[in-house]
Amino acid sequence: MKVGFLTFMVLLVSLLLKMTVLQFIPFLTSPPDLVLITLVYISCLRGSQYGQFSGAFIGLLEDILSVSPLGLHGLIRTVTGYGVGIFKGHLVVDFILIPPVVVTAATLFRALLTSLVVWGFSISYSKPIFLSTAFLTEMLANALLAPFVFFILHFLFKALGEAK
Amino acid sequence: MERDSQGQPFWGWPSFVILLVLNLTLLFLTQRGILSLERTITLNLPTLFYEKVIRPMESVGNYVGVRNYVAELEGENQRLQKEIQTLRQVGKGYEELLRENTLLREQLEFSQTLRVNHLVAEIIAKDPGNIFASLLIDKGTDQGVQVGAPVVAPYRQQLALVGKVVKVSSRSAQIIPLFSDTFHIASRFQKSRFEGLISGTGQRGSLLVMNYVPKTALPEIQERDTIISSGGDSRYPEGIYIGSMGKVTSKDYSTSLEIEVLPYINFEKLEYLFVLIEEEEDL
Repeated sequence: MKVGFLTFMVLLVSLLLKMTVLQFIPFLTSPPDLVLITLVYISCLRGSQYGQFSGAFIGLLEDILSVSPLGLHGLIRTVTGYGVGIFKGHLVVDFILIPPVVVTAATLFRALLTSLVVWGFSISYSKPIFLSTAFLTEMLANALLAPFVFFILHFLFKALGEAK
Repeated sequence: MERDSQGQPFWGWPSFVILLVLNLTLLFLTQRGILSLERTITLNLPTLFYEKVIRPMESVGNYVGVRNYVAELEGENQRLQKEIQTLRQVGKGYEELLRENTLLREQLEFSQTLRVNHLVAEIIAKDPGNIFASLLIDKGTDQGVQVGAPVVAPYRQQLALVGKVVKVSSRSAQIIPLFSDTFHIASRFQKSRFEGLISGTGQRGSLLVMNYVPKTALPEIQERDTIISSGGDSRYPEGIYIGSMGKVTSKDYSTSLEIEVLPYINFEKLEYLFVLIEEEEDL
């Protein structure tokens, strides 16, 4: 119950930070996807079952707060949470190497899946998905931010006896 | 790979399929226009977060800064060095305050010169989606903001179009910028008075497109000509600056021109906006 509440709060705060503070960082053409980094950590820690529900929850909330069609982010985050969660127990999560690698892979996967869904459903969008300075900036920002986020989340979940 | 208690890989796939189908159904229904949920209440969430968490944190930061400054007064040499350091930091803070003050003064002066009913709003958040562009402002229905209201910003002592309100809650409103592909506005050339319809292309920072301008306009228009709103659609008042003319395409099979328009507003630098509101008797 406590872990569920912490997961809910952590995802919610990461979404609100992404929408507010991180959007106004100078020189960043695209803000880091803090929600993705948090979801990757949660999925790595708790597995695919937990990852998919966390992804669905935060994705649908993103859809509600965005101008995107309902279900787009829900779908992408669900699949990402499930996919990353499959590797639970197979990754030795440190705070230096693994977080940037996993988060970069998840960013690429998210972009690929987004391209497929917007193409499949003919969704119009305003920013580039792949092969742009904005996407490369975001991928780099995600990779750089990942160790710090993993470190903070590790201590938060450790306090509840979840992380080792 | 992860295994369940029966030793099967990929446990949790039934719920995964259910979630997948649920999201795909929602996507299908909203894309087809069958499902349209009122998603306005949650718009207050980022506003509350900004007002209750971000702003107080800034205040606490300032308080801690003052306490540190007082503590640093101990010790002659250290004090002088740290005082310089503190003064530099204060200087930076002062510069920021000065910049903000100048900006607000400009907005205020400009606001007083506006003849239309308007609200000054601050941008507090942006779209959470990585491929979508929308802005969230700190004014909502409580202040008189309505869906469809035009949003403008100052540009060389004139009003320049930013976009329109698409969702409103009690304390927040969501704005789509004019480069969104769902945005259309009746417009005209300021000098030659030829009219057309400007539409967003969906590409941030890129050009807008003006259609339905007759080919007879070609000798009378030239690059960088100013394009303004014509007031043809009642929502947008006449004379709002939209952008300047770019490349013109004239197709043999068409009776009208296709004109690229470069918007005047730099969306990356926007901080404050004006939401144009209708007169009470018009409501």
